[in-house]
Amino acid sequence: MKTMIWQAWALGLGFVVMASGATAQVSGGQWQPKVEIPWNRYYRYDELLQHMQSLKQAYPDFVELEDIGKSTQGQPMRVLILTDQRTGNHASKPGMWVDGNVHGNEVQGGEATIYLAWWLLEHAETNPRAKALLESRTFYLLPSVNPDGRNHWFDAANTPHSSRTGVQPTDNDQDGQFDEDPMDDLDGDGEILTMRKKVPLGMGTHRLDRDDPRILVPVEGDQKGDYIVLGQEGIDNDGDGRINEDDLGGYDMNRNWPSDWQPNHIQYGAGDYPLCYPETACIARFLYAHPNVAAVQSFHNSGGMILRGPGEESIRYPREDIQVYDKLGQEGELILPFYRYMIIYKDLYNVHGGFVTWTYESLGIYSFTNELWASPQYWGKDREQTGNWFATRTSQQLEFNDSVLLGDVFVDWHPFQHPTYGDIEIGGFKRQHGRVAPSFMIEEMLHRNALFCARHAEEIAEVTVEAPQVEDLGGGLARILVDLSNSKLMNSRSAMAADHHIGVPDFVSLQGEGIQVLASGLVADRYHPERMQANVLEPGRVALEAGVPGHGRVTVGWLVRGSGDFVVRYTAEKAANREIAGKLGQQ
Amino acid sequence: MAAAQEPDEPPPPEPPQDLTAPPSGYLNADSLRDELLKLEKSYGRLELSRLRVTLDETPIYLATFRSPQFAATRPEALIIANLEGDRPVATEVAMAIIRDLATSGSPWDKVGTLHVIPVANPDAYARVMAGQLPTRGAPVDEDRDGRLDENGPSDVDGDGKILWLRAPTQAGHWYANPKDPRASEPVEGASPKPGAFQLRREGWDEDGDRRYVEDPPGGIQVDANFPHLWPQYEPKAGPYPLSEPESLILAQFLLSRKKLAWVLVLDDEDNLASPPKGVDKVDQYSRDPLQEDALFLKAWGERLYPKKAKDDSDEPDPRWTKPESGPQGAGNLADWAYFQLGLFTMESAIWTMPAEGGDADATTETKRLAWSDEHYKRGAFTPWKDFEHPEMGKVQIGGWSPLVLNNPPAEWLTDLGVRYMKFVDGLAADFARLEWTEVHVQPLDGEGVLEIRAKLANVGFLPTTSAMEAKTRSKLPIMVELRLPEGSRVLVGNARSQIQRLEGGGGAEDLRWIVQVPKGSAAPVLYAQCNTAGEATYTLE
Repeated sequence: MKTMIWQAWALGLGFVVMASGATAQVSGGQWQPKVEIPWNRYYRYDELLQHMQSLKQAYPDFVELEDIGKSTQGQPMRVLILTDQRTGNHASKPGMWVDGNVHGNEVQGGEATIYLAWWLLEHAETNPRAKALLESRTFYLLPSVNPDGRNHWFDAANTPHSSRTGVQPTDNDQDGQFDEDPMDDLDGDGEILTMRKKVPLGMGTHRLDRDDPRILVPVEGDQKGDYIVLGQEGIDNDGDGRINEDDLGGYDMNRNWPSDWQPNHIQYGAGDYPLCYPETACIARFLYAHPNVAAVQSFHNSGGMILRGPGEESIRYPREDIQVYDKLGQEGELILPFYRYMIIYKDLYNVHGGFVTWTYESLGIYSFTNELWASPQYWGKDREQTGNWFATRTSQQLEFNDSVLLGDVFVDWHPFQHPTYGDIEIGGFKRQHGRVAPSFMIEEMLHRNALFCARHAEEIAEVTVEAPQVEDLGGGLARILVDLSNSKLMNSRSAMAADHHIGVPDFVSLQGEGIQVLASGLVADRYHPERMQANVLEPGRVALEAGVPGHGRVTVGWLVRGSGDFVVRYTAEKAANREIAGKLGQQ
Repeated sequence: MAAAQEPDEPPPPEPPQDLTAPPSGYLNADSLRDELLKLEKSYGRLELSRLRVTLDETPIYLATFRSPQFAATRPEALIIANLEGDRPVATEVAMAIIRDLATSGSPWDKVGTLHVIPVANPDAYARVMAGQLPTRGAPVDEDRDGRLDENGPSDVDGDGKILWLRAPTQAGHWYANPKDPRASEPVEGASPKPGAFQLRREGWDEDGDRRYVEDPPGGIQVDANFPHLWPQYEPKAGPYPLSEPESLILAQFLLSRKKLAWVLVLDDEDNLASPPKGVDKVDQYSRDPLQEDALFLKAWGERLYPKKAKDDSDEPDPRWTKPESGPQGAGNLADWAYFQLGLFTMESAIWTMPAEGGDADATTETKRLAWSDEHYKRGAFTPWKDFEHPEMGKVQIGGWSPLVLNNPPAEWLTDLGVRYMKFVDGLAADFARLEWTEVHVQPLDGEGVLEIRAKLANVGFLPTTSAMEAKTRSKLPIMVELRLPEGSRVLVGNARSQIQRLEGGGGAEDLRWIVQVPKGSAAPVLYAQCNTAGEATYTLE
């Protein structure tokens, strides 16, 4: 019998992150970005597009811009594709999708999305981890899912809460007419405020707060009220006896996604059918065409939340994935003071047809929604001291208005002659207050949220194919074992994807010209590799339906005959492909 | 409530002998198109449209018949046939209705608008009628090996047909019925059955993975691709609801027809032959209609299947036997139309091979074989024949030809067509219809102040909307308007108001106004409009 000496060596042919020798960013405020973007204000959609263009011009090797569709009003749905193109095409790397502003009034997600690109680019040369992210990941960044609604927030009079919708005319009051009775800026100050009316004592539902008459307090028990609240500024435009009952649009694009989509009578704002809006449809097409997306963040406002699904109690998430979510969510709570990691249906409310529930449940992608800005941040106090967890008491908000903003965000009550109600008063908070951070606090909000995304992206599976281990079984037979290890938190395939056969499994193949593969399979016990569940049907290739677990490894074994060079290839939708060479030889 | 069957309906004629299995004698994609184009050219009544194209770039034809007088105001109805392509009988029935309406007058001329889509899935239909599987060009990786459609069925024994294959194995789930060995019966219980076999589609292991016909062409089904109870993780359901051109086209059409009152789906499911009893509550997971709506299905079912055969025979007529409903599929069009749009939705499977009679041991399969032996002379069932399969060893090939279990012999299509033409003619009289009744005008003073009282009634058979629609609110309510001459004013009441719904058979709502009308001016007018019930106008003299 010939003496056989089996050799194998590893040769990493896949992408390898090189340790950067660049120095860290200079501290002390001496940093000079290539692209200056003032992060102390919010931008109209055309200005956001201009920022994207500026980044592309400054960083042509890192930024591509792709129009994936058009909004209802024909504005481009423009995605900034961010990756170091010198280390590979964007589709060849696992990716993260980040968007914002699906609700027209939740504007700061747009700035946060661009901030993420800007910060990583500006640190690409000085921060090794930013550099590595750009080299090994792709970010698909859509600053506004609802550019028409965004511009409406800037251009039209609005309340502090309007308006979530897109701008397709909708018949909210089922009278056959569309958007015919919107809110009206009666006093022409560019804001939609609240209307109240003083009535004889005892006829009212409210009274003035004794400490601050700007505040209306509901009467209780035997108290007598002398004010009634008449809703937002408006008149009966269509003469049907109702006010403001058919405002602009009237739907919610974050209820229009396919997973657990329910019609309007069950889920307000769902639209006629899943993906019926041009904005949602083009995003879905894009995500189906980019199976490399392994992480999703969708920025909303407000309340200080890091949200994950499910949006409905009956939908179950696998335990392995919840562990991933929990770890990221808990780190998010550290990154984002005042924010809480929460489950949508349990801690917020039921959402049918939400975006991040769809990307996880239907596409198998670990996905979060952050609700940017928490009003307790006005005073930097604990939630319990400032009201409940999503809102600060009105008195404290007025104090902030008075002391920190010199009255900038509250319009004092002033008289108005209303065609239906006669003498009334108009007043209240402006749209710049409540849901969006005040200008001097914007950058911190953007940075912390953007960097939470960076951390999420860092934890996308990174699989290494370790050196093949070869065992001579005698008689010309050998067993080759290869470990695949994942150095990151996220599984290369979420358990949701594995359980429901979403996407394509990861595959590991072994090929060599002089080598006949007789059997292959996953090896559960590396000390008893003979117990592997042998696949003889297509032995050259092993399907990993569950992928490679986060911070874990799987062992794949091959029973082979022959000699010569071979290559082990790992391919995955949501992790970088890898391969390693080996040799099965005779001495 | 149920309309009686028409008294002069003739008994079914005797079945002709020597019947040939379908698709012989049926239309095919080309002849269907040619006939539609010819009808369009020859008969002005027929308006033929082409809904956007499918994956094979075939249009979905839509035949529309509008009442010349009432099209603008009266309700509409829709018949959709053959959603998976493998029910050519549904297409034949739809074409019979189109032919009838195009070539001769019908009650629809005076009622409203009827739309008929004879083939909702033209790609699969074209393939089926060319002897292929009912598939569309939307592939699914059924065996999750990263390759698409790489192992479909094929004609192994070269007899020109793709049939079935019995592969003997102890672990097989099927066995040959001892009484009629042609019948394949499922093994019940865990213990192995001597002579057990696996029952497969005829084919090879084309991709060398030791599996047979495990990844056939296509896979995404139109009638599993609608939003109600869309089965998210079933590959046949598509990546998302309405992802397929056919389902999207159909859904957009239904959504765009605001006057649509009901839909009749001619396909594999049936709620007329054995109508559901209904339930008293529904939610997003419901499969059964509300009781109130199920009553209408029962009434319609009794019209289509009169309780007693006209010839007083105890023997069921094979052509008019009630069909078996196919399994209730999730994500289908009919459920979506009812549960999410609130449309009255009828479903008819039209015909399935009868499985009746026989002794106590007879199974569905042996009954069907007996029926087939009696009625079919050619092409329905191919006797099992031994064959040495190069990969599987000794097997048998044979079994039912495609289509025969759910599509009748072509010789019976004319009778079936007449039956459905009459049924659809009868449906024309069913729409809700508004009428002003009990109108009273009472002067309250000598200065033109009047009290107006009136009842707005629905004198049609159907309510203005289904009970389900009262939940979905997908239709506009009934719009009521008191039109006053210039210079008038309403003192009590609303000049414009809405009524959500009126029951059929006289369901009414009382309305009252007090108005002031200048002396000598024109008479006030009561006006009501409902998309599913038309208009009603009453001039107050």
